[in-house]
Amino acid sequence: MAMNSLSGGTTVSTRPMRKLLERMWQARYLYLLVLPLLAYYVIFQYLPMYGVIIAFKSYNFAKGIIGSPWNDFEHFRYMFQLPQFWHVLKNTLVIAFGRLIIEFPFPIVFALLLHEIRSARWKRFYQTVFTFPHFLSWIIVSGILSNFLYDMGMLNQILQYLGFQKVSLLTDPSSFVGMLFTTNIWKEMGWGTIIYLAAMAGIDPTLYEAASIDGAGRLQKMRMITWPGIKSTVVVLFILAVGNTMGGAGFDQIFNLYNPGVYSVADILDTFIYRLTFYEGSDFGFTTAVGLFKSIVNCLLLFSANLLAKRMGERGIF
Amino acid sequence: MFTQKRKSLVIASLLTMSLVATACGSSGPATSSNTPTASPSATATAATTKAASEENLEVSVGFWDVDKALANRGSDDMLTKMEKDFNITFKPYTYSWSDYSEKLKLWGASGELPDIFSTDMVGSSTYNQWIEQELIRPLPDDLSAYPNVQKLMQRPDVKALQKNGSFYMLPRSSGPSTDAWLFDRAILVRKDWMDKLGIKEPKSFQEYEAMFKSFAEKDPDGNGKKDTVGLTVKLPGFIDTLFLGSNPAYMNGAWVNEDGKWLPSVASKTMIDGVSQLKQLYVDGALDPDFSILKNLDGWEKFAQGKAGAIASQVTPNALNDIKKLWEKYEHDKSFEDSIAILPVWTDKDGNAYRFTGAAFWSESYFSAKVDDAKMDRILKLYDYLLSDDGRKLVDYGFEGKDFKMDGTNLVVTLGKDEKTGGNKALGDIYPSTGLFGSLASWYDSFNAPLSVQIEQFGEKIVMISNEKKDEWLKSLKPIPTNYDVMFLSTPAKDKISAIPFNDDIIKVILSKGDVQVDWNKVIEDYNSKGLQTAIDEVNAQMNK
Repeated sequence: MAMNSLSGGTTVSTRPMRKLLERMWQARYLYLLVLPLLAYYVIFQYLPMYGVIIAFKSYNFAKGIIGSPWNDFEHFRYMFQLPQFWHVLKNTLVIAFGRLIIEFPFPIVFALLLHEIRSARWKRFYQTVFTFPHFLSWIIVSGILSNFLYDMGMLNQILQYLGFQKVSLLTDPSSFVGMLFTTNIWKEMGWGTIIYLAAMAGIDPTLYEAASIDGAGRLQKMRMITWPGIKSTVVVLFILAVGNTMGGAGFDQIFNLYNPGVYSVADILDTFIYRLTFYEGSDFGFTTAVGLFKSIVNCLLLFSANLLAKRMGERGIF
Repeated sequence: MFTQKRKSLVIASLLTMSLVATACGSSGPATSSNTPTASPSATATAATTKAASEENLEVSVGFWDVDKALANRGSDDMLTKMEKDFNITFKPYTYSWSDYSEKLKLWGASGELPDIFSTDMVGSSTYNQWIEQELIRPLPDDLSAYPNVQKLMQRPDVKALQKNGSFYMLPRSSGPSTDAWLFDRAILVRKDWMDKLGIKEPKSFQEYEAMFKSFAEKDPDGNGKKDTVGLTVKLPGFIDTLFLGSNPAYMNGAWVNEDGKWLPSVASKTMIDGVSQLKQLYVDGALDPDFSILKNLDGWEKFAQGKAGAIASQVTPNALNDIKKLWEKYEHDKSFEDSIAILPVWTDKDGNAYRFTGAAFWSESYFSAKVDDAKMDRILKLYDYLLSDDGRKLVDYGFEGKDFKMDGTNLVVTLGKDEKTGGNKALGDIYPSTGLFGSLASWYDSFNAPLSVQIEQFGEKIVMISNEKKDEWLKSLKPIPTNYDVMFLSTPAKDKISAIPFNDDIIKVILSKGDVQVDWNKVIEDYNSKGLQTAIDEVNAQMNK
């Protein structure tokens, strides 16, 4: 009896499974194609994750990740009592949220403006000009910027010519963060518009025609047709940006532009971890702990942004 | 049609998978063949050592740009000689000047350290950790089989580096005496600008500051624009040079004895004088406003372009020659040699002028714990040869009869002229492997090279300027008082604070808009929280034993 019910149960549960397998077999070549990508994620993204356990261990080079002894959250205790850590965390949050508030809207506004250009040639021209800086690495851009912003750089020469005082944007803590935002907008604004322009291209042109017949002006069309057409894209990108807050403070940019004089405002978690690990030779376990903390905060922010978007009636990303 | 499509799909998938598999297979520069599995054995007999020396050994070497140095196997006679004489095949593990420390730490973490590698980490927390966790191996206790190595390890500035009774590194010597550091930090100045502005050779801080300010403000290049700076630095870290005029020990990291107590130089009571002087130079516009953001050759370029009146830099004949090459890229009225002078840093408040000195080595060679005794023996034989007079001569001047000849006691270089540049051929062009062998065991010591060779390499005028100053400074300037026993003493807190980037904090204070004393007190408070006081207590307890 027991055997029967057991075998009966198995039959029931294997039926959909068999169906699934059959469907998979039918699409076997597609699965074969997906396999390398899957393998990539498993090998390079998931398997190395076991390494984060060194955040909870006293890492010993000779004993390796598994063999090193557990240390009772010592790295986390040390991290939270380090005054520098709180300072760096504050910088990270200030810069990251600054980017969300100041930098995030620029590509949207720029895309809306581009969308309004009638001549396709000028539209392409502006888009190319504004997208180009994205393809320069921060190493190159930092070299160009340094030459431009040096004490005797072009900016100061122009300022002096016009009778103003010289500025030292690269070494003055009060202007450094603003310089970060401005240069990042310059570099990434054009690239950021691509997705919005694609979303705009997907809007049904008959809507615009109908609106024109109804006598709607350009601003009204932008507000009533274009904006609702790209709103969901904006929300998705915003959620992703929030989820990348802690990492999105911009290691590449800051690392190539900062100097000890502006550490007080520009040192972020990523640069702090980098210096600790490679210059000061800190324990890998400690720097992993800081990195893990960063990832957890990121994760929490991502979920909250998603939840918030859903509450506001948007779709969210999961 | 369908089969065709299916075939291409299968082939495409297989290719992609093989790509992924290849990517997974490679792990850094190491391959399985280069890491011997034998663990260090302390009881290798003479017989096994002898047997081992008969087989060819692969020795992996971590060194700056070593891939280029070992690229010409077959046509590079020096490489051929070394590999044949010691029956070794070298395998390069390359790193650059900007990433060597990072790369070595990564290799250390992943168990891929090369058999030999060079870096500067003696006394650091990484060094102690790697000894404790058996990543690097000690040298044998008995070095009598390698007399040149033994001689080096018995020098007083080296002897202090023993840990637990053994040496875990071999210092890369920069010369037979600590005087060789003389020109490693000084001020290179525009003599022609001094003459034009009627400035006499300065001595005190005030005189120096006045001179730098004149360079910045009085249009010394006469182009009618205010486009020159007073004093710049080769790189931001070179601001430590200027402490020779206040707290000289800060320059070489020595500990100072104040009121019977050993203190790290950064905690000396004279430290604030130095920081204040630098801040004053910065605020008054005597110091380059961009000094903290200079990279690579920016500082030298500024000087060579005629945009800076003075620069804190190395002034060795080699460095002068390099700056001269940059200088010649730009238009100048006078030659480099006729436009410059070398000055010491200003006198301290007691009227003493100091010159740089330090342990007579910069950076060290380390040996992976995976190197067994037989391989270690072969490596030490190589080092012994490189440290010998014959070895030094080979890597500095090439083969006798071919690259140089002896004219009595005079060594005459016969490398000939480079057809393209018209200048002398460099040994490195003929034997790229000198890039490794020339500085693996010890640095080329231009300080003690025969005069004829120096002139051949750097030109007569530069050599004359250097030699004149050398004689003068050895007599008139005091070397930084340095106690190597304390300097290289290792205690847990001392090792930890040695990793603090002090220069960064000094730069922070210079650029800050706040009061220098208040800012510096904060820095010291931060050091205390990182273990400064504990380090002082530990060191004094050890020294009082």
